[in-house]
Amino acid sequence: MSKAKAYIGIDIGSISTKGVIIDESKNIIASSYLWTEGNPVGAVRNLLGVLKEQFDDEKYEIVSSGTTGSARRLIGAMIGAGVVKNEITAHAVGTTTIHPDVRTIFEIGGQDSKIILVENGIAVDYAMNTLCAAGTGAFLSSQAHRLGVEVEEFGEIALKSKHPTPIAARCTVFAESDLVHKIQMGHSREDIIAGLCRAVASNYLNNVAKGKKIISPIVFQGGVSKNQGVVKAFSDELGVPITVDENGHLMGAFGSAILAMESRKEAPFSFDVGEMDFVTKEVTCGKCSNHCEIICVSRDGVLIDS
Amino acid sequence: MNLDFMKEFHEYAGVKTIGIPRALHYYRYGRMWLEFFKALGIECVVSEPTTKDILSSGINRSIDEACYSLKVYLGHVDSLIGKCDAVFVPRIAGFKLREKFCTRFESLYDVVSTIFADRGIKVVTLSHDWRSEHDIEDDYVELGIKLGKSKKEAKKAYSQAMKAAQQASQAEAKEQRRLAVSDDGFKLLIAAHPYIAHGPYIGGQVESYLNNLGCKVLFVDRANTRAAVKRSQAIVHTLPWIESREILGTIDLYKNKLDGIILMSAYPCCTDSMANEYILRTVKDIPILQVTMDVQDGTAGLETRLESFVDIIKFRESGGYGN
Repeated sequence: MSKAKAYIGIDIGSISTKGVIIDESKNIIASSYLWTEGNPVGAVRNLLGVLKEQFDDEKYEIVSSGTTGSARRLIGAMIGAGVVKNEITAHAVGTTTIHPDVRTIFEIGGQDSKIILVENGIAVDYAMNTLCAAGTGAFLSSQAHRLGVEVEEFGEIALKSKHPTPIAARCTVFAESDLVHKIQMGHSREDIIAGLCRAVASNYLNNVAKGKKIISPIVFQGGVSKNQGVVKAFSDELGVPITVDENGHLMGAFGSAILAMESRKEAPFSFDVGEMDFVTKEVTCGKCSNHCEIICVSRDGVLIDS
Repeated sequence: MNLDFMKEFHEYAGVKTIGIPRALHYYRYGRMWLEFFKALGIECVVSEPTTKDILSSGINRSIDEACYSLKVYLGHVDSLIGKCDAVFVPRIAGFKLREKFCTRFESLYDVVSTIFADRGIKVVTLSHDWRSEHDIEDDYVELGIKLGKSKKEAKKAYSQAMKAAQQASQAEAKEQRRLAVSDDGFKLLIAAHPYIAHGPYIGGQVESYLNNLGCKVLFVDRANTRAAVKRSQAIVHTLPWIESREILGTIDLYKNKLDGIILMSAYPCCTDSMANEYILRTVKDIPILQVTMDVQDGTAGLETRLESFVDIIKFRESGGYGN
């Protein structure tokens, strides 16, 4: 009996690595989410191990693969991906598949944030934070540390607040000094945390989403969307409900798997690539005075990409 | 007889090789300069395309607040020291009240002379701005005389250089026109100053990346710039800068032929900070990607932006994903 076709998508971000396997009807049949920890190759190796356990290889066969995220090229070379696509397209494809009526996608990740505007089911405009990481996951983590709470508890604590403390949202540096000042003034911790969530939301709306027309329905994704405090701050600020998908963090990988499926480029895929010996070596080219950094990727000692 | 006053006339006499920094106005007038000096029998040394070393020496030489393009220019001047008798630093500041270049070009000669005063370089210049009551040809002729040539020789050199430069740019313009009117291909206009669009560190990267994505790339300086400036006058009266006018006018002339526009700038740029904002607010019905580059090495963010911009337009034109 021939096996049903399946497609794998991997999203390798700066902070986390996500993988999804879908069947031909775009149902998620396996998924995983783990930390990149500064080692994309190692993270993908672990990710493939986890996905392999969930995957029924008697019923399905993976016929195509896609990668996205900031390490998409490196990992694309490693697994021999059929489609290597930027994260904006991957997120838009993934999200519009699950929420066909979506008009605006907010995404706040570990160190970047984006807004994607959708019209008639396709992305028509986007913006990314450029030079400033204010209001991203990394900022919230460092502030959680300062307040002595886990960032995962942030949302729950924030929801208890009745009077969120106003915190300057323009810039991380000012937000932080404002925060310290408010702590010393004696504001309660839940008010400060709620204020911080508001600061993240208004920072996003004032910077990343500046000048963009935000139309409901809005879907909020990325690691920060797991924070109930920020979700509430957004819906208070905009006066409309915000949808957070439980699979929101997987949308990039999901979109990448769909792109692999739609590309109709079939290529053999093996979970064993994870066990092969991958070495990435940074070579500084000395042929001119620019000294470009070249990353050479070799599999089992054979150079496959640079 | 006292012939001391002749020294004034021939103040650059003795210059056999002249260094030309490959930056700023080089991308606009470089071809003309090379032909002009060649016709006068003076050897030209053009600095290498920008490298990291050139950029970092430029950064070391300039004040922090200077723009990226000026820093690059200073690096190029630095790299020419010791390779020529004099460096050519023109002061071509503009032609009319509302056809000026950025003030950087007005101050260029003074900035370079001051910054490199300790290096004992000789700077050869030519000065023209919108207050000049004569044609720029007269300034070139004067430069030729200063270099020890006769007025006749200088005039001949100017007209030869002008002709050669015009022929070359007309050939480029013809090629671009062919590209612009053809129906096939995905066409993007790089809307930027010539030194940004063609400089290897910024525009060069963008151009080659867009070519890899299969796009056809058009440039403002290869369009009909006179017609563009004229068109811009019908759009906005007060805009002071000629290159901003060329960008704005070219966008308007081309817009029905393009799939999208890459509005590209180097941070910080005073003229773009105003003109690009104007373009973003007034040019409708065509996708525009604003790319602002800083002195940075990573290109990942740039590639993501360009790729997703191209994707968005392609998906929109084909009517959806999976088509």
